[in-house]
Amino acid sequence: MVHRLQAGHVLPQRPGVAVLEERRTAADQGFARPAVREGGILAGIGLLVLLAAAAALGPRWRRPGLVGEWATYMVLAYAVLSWRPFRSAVARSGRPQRAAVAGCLLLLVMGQFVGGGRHTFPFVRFAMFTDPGPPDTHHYSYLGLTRTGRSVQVDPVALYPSLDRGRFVGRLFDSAEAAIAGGSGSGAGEAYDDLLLALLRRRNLGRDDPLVRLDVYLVHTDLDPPPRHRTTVAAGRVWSVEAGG
Amino acid sequence: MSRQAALPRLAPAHLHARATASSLGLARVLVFGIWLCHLAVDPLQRLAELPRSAFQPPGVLAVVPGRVWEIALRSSSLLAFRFGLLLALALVVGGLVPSQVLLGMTAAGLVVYQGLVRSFSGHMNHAELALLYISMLFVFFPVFDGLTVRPRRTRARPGGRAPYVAGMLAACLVLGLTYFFVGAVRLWKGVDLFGTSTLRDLISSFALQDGRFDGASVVPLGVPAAILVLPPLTFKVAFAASTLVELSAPLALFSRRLRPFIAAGLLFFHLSILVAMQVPFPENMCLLALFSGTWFHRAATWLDDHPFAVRRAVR
Repeated sequence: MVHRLQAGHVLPQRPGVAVLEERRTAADQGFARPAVREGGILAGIGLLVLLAAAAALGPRWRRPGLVGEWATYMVLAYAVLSWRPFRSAVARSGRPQRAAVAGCLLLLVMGQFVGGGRHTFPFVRFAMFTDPGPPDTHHYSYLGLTRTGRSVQVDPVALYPSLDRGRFVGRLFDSAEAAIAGGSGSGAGEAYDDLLLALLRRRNLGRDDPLVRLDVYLVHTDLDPPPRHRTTVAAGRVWSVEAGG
Repeated sequence: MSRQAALPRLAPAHLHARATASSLGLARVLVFGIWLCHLAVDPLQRLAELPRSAFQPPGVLAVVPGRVWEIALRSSSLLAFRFGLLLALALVVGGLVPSQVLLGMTAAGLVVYQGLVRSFSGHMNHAELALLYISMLFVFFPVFDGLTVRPRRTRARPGGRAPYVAGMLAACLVLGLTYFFVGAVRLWKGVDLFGTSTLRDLISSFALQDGRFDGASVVPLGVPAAILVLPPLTFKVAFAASTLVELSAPLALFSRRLRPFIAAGLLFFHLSILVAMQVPFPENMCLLALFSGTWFHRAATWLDDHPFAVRRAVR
């Protein structure tokens, strides 16, 4: 008879094979303590990760949160290693698959420990909203002046959708801070000019009433109470570029 | 009733216990299909307009010599790269060229693509990274054994269904870990974080940054501003609850009972972020489908039975 074990694969098969597969799968359920050798390998890798983090982070590694994090990941790694379905499926896969899974998990954990910046991309530190913010905020807003004298708000992220807000706003913020600190004649100032001119040119593409100037405003707002309606803010123009130069 | 007829009614032993070549094939279509849609609407070539001074390649891309970037960052180069990658993705999604080499090159292209957009970043955001890791992982798994348009003559796998089960579980584990990491960091930063107004301040800040500014006043963005009417305690509870959901993500692998709640919780978590902060995570929202084991395999089987699917014989 013909029995379809794998969809897409038509295999001539004995009737009991699928039942055996099911029974084997049922036996693979749940958790089982890993062998001493496996536990030893896990502990060794864990220690290696901790040492690598200590070497990469320098004195910063001594914060208690890092060791706590490490212990948390070790507990999870032990749980994953003890989970029979995963262990069994990976063990019965080929060597490339086993190496890929082990390598991927190791790199993820390494990125989590020694990442935090750009240097370990694509394996970076996952840490969103982990610090309390100040009760007030300051950000930069962009106002353009058109040829006919209209004032229009410019959204840099809308001009370059590849760079979503989290990416581009952060870069513009850093560039603005560096430019203001260095002054208009500095390298940072010129770099910021170039960046703003790129925004201005992109905004002007196909427009009947193009921008002739782009102003950058530093906006301070108190977040307590949270602003829900139109709010007067402390805003000042900190930088400008003109379309001609 | 025959024994075989009763088999499909058995409760699956664990997540993806019944994964087949088609299941992993569907995962391939899902993962690389998301990339295909993502890149199709991304005007990547516009990055050529930005000044070179704003470009700081991160991590592995930092080893590429500056001269190469001078050429790579031209509009024509970026456009060619975009369409080349789109073509490769289409071939991978359809399984038209079921080659692990092509898959490897596509994954490498995706790393470059994600590195490029992060080269103009102030900070490393996490959107798309789980998807990127799973794409890289799939290079080493037999993802072309099922749901391919073009037939691929293949021998039966020595481990039976094990590589398919392992591939699906590894993808779920990687996805779960990316959530778990965030929760763990937040937890070890100190639980007093949840007693602060951090979440409310973040929503306020996003509402202001995306609001209408006229030089003297800001009109905050409508929906987030409306959410700020809620009592402060709501935000503290929501912050703690979302961290709990993130920490529980790996449990979706282990527990059949908790899985639907965790998957629904994560979906709700992403929807809340979208509404309150206008930060979308469409890739992760789609990837949550990987946690729907039984439905996922049913869909894969149904697609495999579809008239367009190709039947292949195993030698």
